[in-house]
Amino acid sequence: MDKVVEIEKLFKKYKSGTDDLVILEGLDLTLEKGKKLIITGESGCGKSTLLNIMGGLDRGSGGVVKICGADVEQMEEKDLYNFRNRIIGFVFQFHYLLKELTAAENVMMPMFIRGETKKKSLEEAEKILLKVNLAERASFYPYQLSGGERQRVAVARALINNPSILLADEPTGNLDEKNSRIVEELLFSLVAEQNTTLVMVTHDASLSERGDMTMKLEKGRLREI
Amino acid sequence: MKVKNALFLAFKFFSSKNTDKNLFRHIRGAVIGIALSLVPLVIVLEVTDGMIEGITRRYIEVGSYHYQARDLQNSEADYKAVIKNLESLETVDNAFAFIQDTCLIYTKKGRTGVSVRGLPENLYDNDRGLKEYLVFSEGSFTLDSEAILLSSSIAKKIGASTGDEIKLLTAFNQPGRALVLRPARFIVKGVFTTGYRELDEVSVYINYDRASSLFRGASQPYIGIKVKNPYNSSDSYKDKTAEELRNYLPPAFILSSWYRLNYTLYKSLETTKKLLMLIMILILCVASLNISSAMIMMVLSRRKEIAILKSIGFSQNDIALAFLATGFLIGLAGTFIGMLAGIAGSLHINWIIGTIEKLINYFIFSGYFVLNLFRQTEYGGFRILDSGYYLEQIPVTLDFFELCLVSFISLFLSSAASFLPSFRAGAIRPVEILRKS
Repeated sequence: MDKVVEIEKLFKKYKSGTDDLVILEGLDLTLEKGKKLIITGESGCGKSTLLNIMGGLDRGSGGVVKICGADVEQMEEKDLYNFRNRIIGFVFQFHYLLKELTAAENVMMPMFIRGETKKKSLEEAEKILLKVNLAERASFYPYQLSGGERQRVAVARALINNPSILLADEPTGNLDEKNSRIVEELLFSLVAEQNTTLVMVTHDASLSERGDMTMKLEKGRLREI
Repeated sequence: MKVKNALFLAFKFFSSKNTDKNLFRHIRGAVIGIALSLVPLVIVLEVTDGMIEGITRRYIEVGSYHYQARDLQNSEADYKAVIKNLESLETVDNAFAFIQDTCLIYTKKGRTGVSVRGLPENLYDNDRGLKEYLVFSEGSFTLDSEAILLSSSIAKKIGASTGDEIKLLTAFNQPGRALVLRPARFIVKGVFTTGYRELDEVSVYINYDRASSLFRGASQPYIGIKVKNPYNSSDSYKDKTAEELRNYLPPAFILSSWYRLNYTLYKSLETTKKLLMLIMILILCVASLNISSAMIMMVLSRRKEIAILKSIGFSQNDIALAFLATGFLIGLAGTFIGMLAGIAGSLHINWIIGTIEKLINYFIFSGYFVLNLFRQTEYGGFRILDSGYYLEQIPVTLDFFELCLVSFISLFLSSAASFLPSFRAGAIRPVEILRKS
């Protein structure tokens, strides 16, 4: 099977005053296409940092990070924009929708940035909004949507470009129980439909059962549980 | 860099109703700031243009004429033949001889020094420019041998009106004798105004033949020339008309254009206009700083959105361009409103000034009314623009090129003011924002 994620001996340290604060310490990870990895761990252990490095938003302090065969650590800044646009999909704890854009416009942005026309991008956005059961809310602005609906729009935005890997950083962390289940359901069904590799960081223990693999990040390394 | 993405976002940032109220107030303030600073700039520009044009036209139609030719060597040239020759040219509208000197004009009621100009009897009918700017409040342009035409201010000074008898006192030197003073009697046949006090202050017209005999030996005649397009002469290097005229003048004649004759006045007006423009552009610069502060606010309040845009593939340049375009749109809106208001203000400037004068005078007169209950005081009325120094009515000329130039400057300053905040928006590192939030 194709390897989507290949991480070898990844280090990440931050300056904390005069000391170095080591977050990731020789982390290794390999993930194949379509697999769903759930990462748990204590707050501040480096889960989000790992996702940010995998998504090209942050750089490691050492090691190799290959996503779909491309060495993210060696990429130029201008190549990273394309990489994030075409290969990666992000879903964060907070939806970060642009309040000036409608739900459909928010969803279409990655495709529009990729170079598609606005018309084509909107058409695709409406199709994916239908999949997250928000077709009738396509022309609504974020302030007209509920918290769960906003997060579903964010999921749709992350998946519109059919990315190879979806990085989800506590996507239900801000939602109530009912909406959490709806968002989880959609997220898992959509990545399964698109055969997208999913890496999800969560504190929700119940999600462990839905992944192909669950790992805990402690002492800077991943341990399968 | 994908321009369409940046423009799409900029348009949304600028036009959305969902923007934060605080940010919306900043954007609105920046638009109003640009608009308000453009209004006086446009008004000053168009009004000074109109003033310069109005004053220049009066000077060249009534005062200096388009060109003046003069026989410097007293070659006793045949003026009639020279004029006929000049009038055969297609570019020439009208040519005529005139003579002028300074005299003392007096009646029993007053006296003053004047510049007397002798003009042909039929000039008024042949000269469209003179007809346009020499407006008679009494009588008409009648220049028989005993007629004299007075400007309204001179008529007022010496207390003369149509039909009154006045005298001109000329002085000239005779060889071997002392200065000879010679009075000459005239009847006032008309009182006129050019609408510009400086021209009216000293102008008196009499018949050309009478003037020739009156100033005999003291003054040389000139040839006044009116051409179809006098404004070529403002650029002496390209003044083809002057070259053509010189070919039709005897060698002893020198030719001067209105631009050379009124050079100091014209340059002084132009310099005043440039200074005013500079001051107004400085005000515009200050107003464009509002855009800068609105853009800083916008960048600060959208740091999370910038981070997410970068995470979905927006580049640093795309982000910077989107914010730069937003600043440009703010400038565009302010420029559009300011230009419209400025043009409307320019077109109604006479009404605006009149209304302000009326309002001020209403309050001042009310004050004087109260004062008059105790003692007699007189008040002549407040004038914003004294017609003694400016035109009675401000003519307004809309110069399309200048309006475009002002719009361009405004848009350039708006974009320049948003450059730094836009650059900073582009440089935001998404991971820092996402980590903090």
